[in-house]
Amino acid sequence: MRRVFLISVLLFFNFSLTANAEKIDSDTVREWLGRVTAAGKSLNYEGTFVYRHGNDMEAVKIIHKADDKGEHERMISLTGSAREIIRNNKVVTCILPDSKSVVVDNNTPGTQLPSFPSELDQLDAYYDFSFEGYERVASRETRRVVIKPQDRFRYGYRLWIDDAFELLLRSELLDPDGNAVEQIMFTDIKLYESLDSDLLKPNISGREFTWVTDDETAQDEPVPVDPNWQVKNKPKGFVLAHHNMHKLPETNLPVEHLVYTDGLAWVSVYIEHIAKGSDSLQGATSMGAVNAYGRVMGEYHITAVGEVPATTVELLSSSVIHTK
Amino acid sequence: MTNQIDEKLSAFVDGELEAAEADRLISDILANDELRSRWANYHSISHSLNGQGANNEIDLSASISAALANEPTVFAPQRKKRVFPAVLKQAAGMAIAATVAAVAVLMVQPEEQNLFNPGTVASAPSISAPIANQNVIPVAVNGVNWSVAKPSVASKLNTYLVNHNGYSTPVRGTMPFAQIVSYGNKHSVKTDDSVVLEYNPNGSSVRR
Repeated sequence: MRRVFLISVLLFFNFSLTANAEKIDSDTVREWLGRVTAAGKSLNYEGTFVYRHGNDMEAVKIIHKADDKGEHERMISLTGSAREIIRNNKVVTCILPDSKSVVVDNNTPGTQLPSFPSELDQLDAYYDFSFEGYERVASRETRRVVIKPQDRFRYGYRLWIDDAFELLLRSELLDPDGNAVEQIMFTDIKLYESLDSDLLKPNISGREFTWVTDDETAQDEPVPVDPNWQVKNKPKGFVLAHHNMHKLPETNLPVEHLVYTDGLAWVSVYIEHIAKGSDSLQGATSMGAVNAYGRVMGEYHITAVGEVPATTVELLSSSVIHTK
Repeated sequence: MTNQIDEKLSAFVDGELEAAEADRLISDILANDELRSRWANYHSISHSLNGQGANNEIDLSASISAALANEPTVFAPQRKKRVFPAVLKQAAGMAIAATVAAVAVLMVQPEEQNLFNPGTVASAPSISAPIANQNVIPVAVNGVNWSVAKPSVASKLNTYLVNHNGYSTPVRGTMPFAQIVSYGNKHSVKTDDSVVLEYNPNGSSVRR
């Protein structure tokens, strides 16, 4: 039965998706991405991917195992110093052979991610989705999909999805002119029915750091938000997904946090009471594909940060108001 | 010809290839098996790419069926079903972006924390003690950093960024921890007194 199902699926793709740069609707893309997620979790695979940003390029080997106990993953740095990450479901161990280091926390709450705002049904209103045909990546047939923004307030994406297994084998983040800002691609991938657990054992020794991603972390008492903080002008389609208050680790001062999304792009707006002697961003800056824009508004400092074009963070930051 | 390509590969790996040329080379690498294996050799990784663990070459039909069984809605389009949230929440899976944004390396200030002193490590916070209040200075990963003059400003931006990543759920697929793994010496910011780590999938707490 399953096999029959599969065959009909393949026929579906062959017959319906043959034209070049065929426009597809957002629901189809949602479905495809849903399957990409499922595939990434449920398959056993071993491969190498390259991460490229600007002129930086890194190669990483990945081994992913899925069984009745969940997901297990091991990543090994192939460039730079040897590092390994071992993940067993939510427990992640980072092995850093040469380091004296580590620590961390960031104060993001262990709460659920924002539920998806219902206004986001209309993704087609600000992105065009198209299927660009089949292309080989790492010796495998993939479907190439482009998600192109209709304005200059968001990035686009080009995705190569394994035609048989639905794994994402290559992806690019595109600036409004269609240039790749960042790329990730498999150069080699093998899929297995099952994988030996030994393959997931680290083969370097070093200090280990484990962090546990449970959601039960004790949080500081929640601080009430001030609903009067609002962003007046937003690019089309951006809606408030989250509004809360936290204490960021460095300053330990409360920060008002507003999160906006159009369903694909995410921007955070942070509003902080200016502390004596503290430095804050004035104007625009960027780090890779991430842009930020900061300004002072009375006694407050406002910063918008996100993986969106510079104009978007500037617009959001500049149009923060406090209504009373 | 061969030499030319080797030079390009070398420049590429060292991040010295001009962008347009690097794009071309990437396409070539991805499309050309021979070039790919050469690239792999360049990293002395060919042995690890071939054969290890290849004990059960996959049975396509069975695996696809299994994958389908796990995702039964796949081929029965449900117009109203919003799949994105599910995709986007996959912080621990492959379907999340490994963007620079996804990671910030946090540099500890030893003089204040003594975290690198073994004695201190021994008395470091227990697994149940969040280290939220420790004074950490985030530093950009992969040699990329904020284009701001003051470290304190960059530091604050990184703090925001790490926090932001706990809330945002970018669509591009990839591995959330890729950048930690790929964090290399050549990019490190003063490795001697510093370093490491970060990522925070799903707004989780990071602990030692």
